[in-house]
Parts: sequence; structure tokens; C-alpha cells
Amino acid sequence: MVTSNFEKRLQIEQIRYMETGQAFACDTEEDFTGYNAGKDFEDRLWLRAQCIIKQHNLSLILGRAARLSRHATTLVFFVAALLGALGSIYAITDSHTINIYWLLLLLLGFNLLSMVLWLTGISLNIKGLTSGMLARLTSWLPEHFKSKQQTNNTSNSKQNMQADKAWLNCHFSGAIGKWRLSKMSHQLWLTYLFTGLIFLVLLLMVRQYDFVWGTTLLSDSIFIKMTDALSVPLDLLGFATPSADLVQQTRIDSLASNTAQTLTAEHRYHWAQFLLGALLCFGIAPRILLWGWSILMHRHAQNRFTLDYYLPYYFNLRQQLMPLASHGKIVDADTTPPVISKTRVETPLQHTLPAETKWVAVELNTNISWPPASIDDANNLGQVTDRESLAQVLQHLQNHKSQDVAVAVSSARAPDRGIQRSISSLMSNSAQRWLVLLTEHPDESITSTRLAAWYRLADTCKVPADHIITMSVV
Amino acid sequence: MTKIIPESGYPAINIAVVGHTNAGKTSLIRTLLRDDRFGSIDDAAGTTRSVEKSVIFAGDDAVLNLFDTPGFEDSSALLLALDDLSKTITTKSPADLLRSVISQTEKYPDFEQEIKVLRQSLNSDVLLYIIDVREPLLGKYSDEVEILSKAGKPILPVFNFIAGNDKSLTQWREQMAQFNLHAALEFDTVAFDFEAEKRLYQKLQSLLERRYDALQTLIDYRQEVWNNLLHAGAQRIFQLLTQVACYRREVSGKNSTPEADATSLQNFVREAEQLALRDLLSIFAFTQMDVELQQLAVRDGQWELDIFSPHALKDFGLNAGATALQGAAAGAGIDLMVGGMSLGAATMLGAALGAGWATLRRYQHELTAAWQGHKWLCADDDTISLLYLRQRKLLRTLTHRGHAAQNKVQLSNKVEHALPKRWHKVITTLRQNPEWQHKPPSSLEYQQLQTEVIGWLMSDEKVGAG
Repeated sequence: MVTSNFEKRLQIEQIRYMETGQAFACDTEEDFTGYNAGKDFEDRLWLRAQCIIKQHNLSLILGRAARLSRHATTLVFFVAALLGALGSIYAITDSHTINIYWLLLLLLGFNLLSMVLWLTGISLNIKGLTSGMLARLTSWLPEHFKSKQQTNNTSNSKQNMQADKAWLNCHFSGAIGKWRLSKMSHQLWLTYLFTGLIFLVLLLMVRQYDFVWGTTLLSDSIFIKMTDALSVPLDLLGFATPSADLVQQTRIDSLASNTAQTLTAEHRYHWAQFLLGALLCFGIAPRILLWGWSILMHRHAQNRFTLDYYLPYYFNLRQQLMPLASHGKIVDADTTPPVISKTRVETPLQHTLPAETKWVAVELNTNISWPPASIDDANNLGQVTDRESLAQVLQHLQNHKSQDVAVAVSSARAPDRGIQRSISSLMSNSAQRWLVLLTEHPDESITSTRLAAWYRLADTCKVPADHIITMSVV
Repeated sequence: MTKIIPESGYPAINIAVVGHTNAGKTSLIRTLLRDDRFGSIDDAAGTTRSVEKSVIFAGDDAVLNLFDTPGFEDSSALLLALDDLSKTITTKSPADLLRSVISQTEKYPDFEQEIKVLRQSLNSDVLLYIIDVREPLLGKYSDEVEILSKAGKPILPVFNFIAGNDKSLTQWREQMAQFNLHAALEFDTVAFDFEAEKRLYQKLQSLLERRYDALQTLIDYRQEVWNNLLHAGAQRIFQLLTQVACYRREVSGKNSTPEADATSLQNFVREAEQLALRDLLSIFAFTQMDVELQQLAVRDGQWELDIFSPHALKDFGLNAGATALQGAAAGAGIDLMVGGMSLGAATMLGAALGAGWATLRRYQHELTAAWQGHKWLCADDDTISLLYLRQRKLLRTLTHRGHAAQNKVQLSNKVEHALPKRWHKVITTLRQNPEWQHKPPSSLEYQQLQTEVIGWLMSDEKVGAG
């Protein structure tokens, strides 16, 4: 059962990688886009991922990389254990006399060297240094497989590879990768040292060994002091360590003549305890501490792992799963959609109107000045801009019935029901009706939709099509 | 549908978007919803004929219910009808007069659309009265305000299409002041400005004191989303720059560049820009229809490994030191595998090999190419600079484009703007890391560059906005 945030994010990321080419369909999206669900974006992403995994049977595919990695890890641990055992056996089965410091160097030397390298890597933050070969393999293998995969793949296997790639990227890059590899390398060394220790104990239990030491360059006193120094923590832990005399007695040349007679069980017991104690104290214990530290840091890095919500992929999903707004729902529907009459639209021409025609302008644009010079003041009834001016002009027309009326409008403005009613009432008593479409420039063209709208209005106001004319007002 | 009540305990604020037909009511809602498919927009009267509801959220909470209404077309006649009606009935308040009209819809078939507006106005908490400031000050507009004010709800005039119409805007302001509507908002639905959107919510705060906190939550939420939007856009642009700057193509022959290679380089750059464009548009919720992309002028430059650049030196020098240690670690690994019996020889050998291996792996392609007399083809500096400036302009355009805009964004090669100071340094660094083309690395250096470039683009935006 997946629970931790890291695992959730990992699965979301795996789905993202798999959706590089094409998004998965998820039927029940409604359930988690429900508003007021009290869930943040990540929760919704996670729900979506769960839905996709379920509907597309992806759990096996998503888990493949983890399974493979578990198998590989088991194998590596087995090899490490084997090497640990072989190391111990090989080191002490040759003869019954063991050079104690030589054996310690074999068992702990490289362990110490690797620990120093790891610590340097961690403290200087050098990538790739923290876990040696393991890091190299893990960074190289995916690339290797990728180049192999490119030659033979179907879209399906490509998609599955993407899931593995996501898994590797999440587990082996950045801080998580660093601490994961550190954790593993400490674990491996622990396995190695532990099996080594067990086999050493087993061998020491069933066979008798004599421990000796020797040096070419160093003085004896340095050796004795070193043994004393190493024994301090072992003494504290209750191991029986060799005393200065015992150490002196086991120097290789003092035994050259007759080893078996000089070395007692006490010598062997103390040296064996010293050996096992040193392995535990200087090999296993620091590794356990570093292992624990790596586990903590790894966990910390995993907790800090976040998804890059600035990626267009997540951005688009956010718009889907956590929309800024819900879009249009009709609450008061249009029950009587308008019937748009099909009026024949012609090209209005410039035309000279009968001399006595009365002119009235209706709701002109601000940049058209009324009246133009060509219209006689006596024939100008003014401009209708509001209820009062309309009433005034209507009153005038009422008093002078059966005149020819030309109504001028701005051709660029969209006619509405209000202007239609005004024009209709202005023309109601006229003999001849003219609709004059004013343009600001002689060469200004009127858009076809606008023209059609004015022709429809003219039709409603019973203006004959050949009475629709254009006029430019400069 | 169940009624949504946010945590604050108040239901969402109902806002009726009203105004004369064709003033831009649907456009305003499109812009606020960031959805260019909402409703229908046409340059003709009576495009919207139903009342349509949209909800604006702050996270999970529904904060605003926006109601798009049909436009007023014949307010003067409606006002006369209301006057006539008021003579025949005795009502307590102007709102009752409106209710009386609404209850007798069949008596007023001409005002079917207007009655929908009245009904919604009575059911709303505030009215946004949209004004196309290009329109002359006509009596019918005053009549509209007079009718709307009978609903007894706060009215916030919103001046639309203000770009380049300062004079008429002033006149409209004065006109609204005559109705005591002094608090008004300038909000261009085509030339969008996020600050104006924020001002809209702030004006609502002052009109609806009791909903102050809910609106503040909304403002904060929208601001956060807006910043994220800018960041995501800028990050995508950086990714494009990385892809193009890191791109290289090996060609044979030292002197001439075969045409096919040059073409494929150009195609790569163009395709990368197209993909980035697609992503940017989807981030800002626009469609491909919105942009006309003039082909990017791509010139082929020659990618050279500047082996003596400080960066390459660092690669050889400092990294050589580091890889010696890496090699040692690898050696220690080998020692582990052979049970520590190789006496550290592998460690020493590994150190030497490690440095060599890492260097070789980093520069193996360059060395092979040099050996075979091949060269690398890549987009030249000017192309990348141009790409950056174009994308910068695109980002600016998209952040100032309302979702009601009908014209196309033109993306041309003519962009005049100085490059940032550290531009060439950044590009050189990108060029020296061709492996970044395929996978965004987690390396600190890459992250720093990304932060820097995003910083340039975002600060541009903020300067632009201010």
C-alpha cells in the first residue's frame, strides 16, 4: 500500500513521464474535480493517478523498476556476503599462523579508505564520489538501456520504459540519489563485514590459530603503543585485549624458534578478542552509524522531494483539476430565439434626395458633426440623442405630415431595437422614407454584417432597398 | 446542484454583468475566466440572449458567481413603460416596480431581454455596468443606469475599450458622476492588465464591506496563480533556450556546411520554438489560433568547443581533480568486488583511469570529430538572442492579452530590446553543456542559470506591468 508523500509523488511523476506522448483517459474525473472537496492540487493529482492506474492496469508497469531494482539489490547483497565470507576464509585458511595487523588491514583497510572517500565526497558535495561503482552503474545503465531501446520499440514498450525512467530519475538524482546510494553502499559494506565477522568467528571456533606481528620499518614500541590505543575502546566494551607483555611475546622473531611452545591459549584468546573487537568497533560500528545517518538524510530528502508544478504538463492539469472558474451554465434561457429575416443586401449608392426632404440624424458617432454643409438648415430637424430630442422631432413631424423624411445614421454603429423603434416612429408619417448611412470618409467601406443589419432595419421600417443610400460626412 | 457555501460561511457573491448590447459583457467574463470559448462574441447587437452563470474560485471556495446577461437595447422605451406602470400601481419601492414588470412578462414582449437583466439584477449583490467608452453619450445609456438603479443594488461602472480613448473616458466618468457613480473601474477586456483585474476585486471590497475577507482571499489566490503563470511561462522559455543553445549536429568537412545539415538545424530550432509556443499558449489558456508565427530567421553558426574558456579549463582542471577521486571510489568498488585482495592497486589504477575516463567521456565526441576532420553545427548567437527576445515579447503579449481579444498576436523577427548583461555568459555556459539538451539536469549550475533567466523574464514583466 502506497502511503508516503514521496511514493505518491513518484507515481504522479511516473504517470507524467508515461503521458509524454499521449494523455491517459480517466472516466471518473468528475469525482475529484468536485469543488469544495477540501483537496489540494496534489491530492487531486494523486486521485487522478490512482484512477488512471486502475483503469489502465498500470500497477505492474509502475512497479517494474522497483521490482527489478529489488532483484538487483538482492543479488548485489548476496555477492557482498559471499565476498565477505570468502575474504575471511581466504585470509586465514592458508596457515595456522596469522599476521594480526596484516589481517586487520585486509578486513578493514579498504573499508576505511572507502569511508574516507565517501566522507570527502559528502562534505565536498562531489557527485559520483559518494558511492563509487554503484553510482557509476546506476547513472550509466539507464542511458545504456535507452540507447538500446531506441532501435526496437513499440509505442507501448516506450511508454513502459518511461515509467522506469521516471522511477530512476526520482530515486537516483539529486539529494535523494546521493543518500540512497550512500545508504546502499553502507549496507553493502555492512553485509560484507558482517559475513566476514561471522565466518571469522566460525573459523576461530573450530580451528586454532596463532597470532603474530612483525615490522621492518617501525619500532616495536610504536606497535605496542598502537595496540594499546586500539584496545582502549575495546576494553570499555568488555573485550579481553592483549597486554603489553603479550604483545611483546607475539612479535614474529621472538617466536621464530619454537612458536607452538611459547604461545599459550591466553595469547590466542586475547588476540582473537582483539581482532573481533577491532572489526566490530572500527569496521561495523562506524558503518552502522553512517548507515543510520544516510537513512535519516535519505528520508529527509524524500520528504523534501517536490514536483515541478511550473511544468506545462502540471499547469494544464491544474487548469483541469483545480479550475480557476467553472464555465457557463445557462440559468435563464432564451425561449424565443430571434428570426433573422433574409433581407437582400445591395450596395447602397450616393444619391441626391428630393430638395424638400427633411433630415433627421439618429445617435451619431461623436466624430461625425451634424448637419453637414450640403444640408439646408431649413430642412434639418436636428439629431435624436435621447427621449426629449426624439419627442421634439416627432412633434415637429406630427405637425407637418406627409413630408419626405431622410434618417441619417452612423453606418459604423450596430443598430439595436431602440434605434429601430426611433427610426420607425420618425418615418411613420412620411411620404418617402430614406435611410442614409453616413461614413466618415468617401472611400470608407461598410462591413457586410453591418450593412446586412441596416438593411434588416430598413426592411422593418418599410424603407425600400433603393432608398438606402450612403453619404460621407467629412 | 447543491448550494456551495465557502468556509467563511457566506455564499458566493452574485455579480450581474450588465450593460448596453455589444458593450463587452461577455468579453469581460471571458477575460476573468481566462477562457476564450465562453459565450459568443460578435460585433452585432443581441449576441447574448440568455443569462449564463460562471463561478470564480479561490482554491475550493466559490467566491464569485458571474452572471452574463443579454444587453439592453431599448432602455428608453422600457423606462417609459415603467413610468406608465408606476402611475397605475402603488409600490413601496422602485425594486417592487421592477418586480411588477417581471411578473407580467407577457405584457411586455418587446422587453423580453431587458426583463432577464432586471430579474438577474434583483437577484444579485452587485451590478457591473459595462460601458464601451467609444460610444457617444446618448440618452439611452442614462436611461439604462436609471432603470438599473431601481434595483437598489450597488452599481460599479466598468469602462471597456479604454486604450487610446482618453478623452471619451473622461466624458464617461463625468456622466457616471452625475448618477453618483464615482467609484468606477477602467478595465480593457482586450488590452488586459492583471493590476486592473485586482482593482476590480478591490472596488468590490469597498462596495461589499461584509465580503471583504472572501474577496481578499480571492485577490491573494489570483495573484499567486498569476505569478505561477509567469514563472511557468518563463521556465518554459528557458527550457527552449537550453534546447537550442545546447543543440549541435556533427557534419563532415571542415569548410563548407552542406545545405541539408543547415536545413535540419533550422528545422530543429523552428520545431523547438513551435513546441514552446504551444506550451506557452496552453499555460496562458490561449489557442494556437491566437498567434501568427513568422518563421524564425535561423542562421547556422559553428559550434566550437572553446577549450581555453574558463569553463572548459574548470572542466579539465577542477573536475579532473574531482574525477581522480571518483576513479578512486570506483577502484575501491572493484576492490570490494574482489574481496579486498587486490591490495589497493585497483584503487590507484582507478584514480588514474577515473580522471581520464571522465574527461574522455565528456569530450569524446569532440575529440572524435576533431580526429575525423568533422565539425559541429549549431545555432549561432544571434539566433539564440533573437529567440530569447521573441519569446520575451511573446510572454509580454500573452500577459497583456484579454481572452476576448479577436486579433492575432504577431510574432515577428523585429524585436528591439537590449539583452541582459550576463546574457552571453549564460549562453556560453549552456553551449558548453550539450548534454543538457535532452534532460533537464538536477545540477546546481543548471538550476542557477534557470533561476537567473526566469528572473530576467519575470522582472521584465513586473516593470512592464508597473
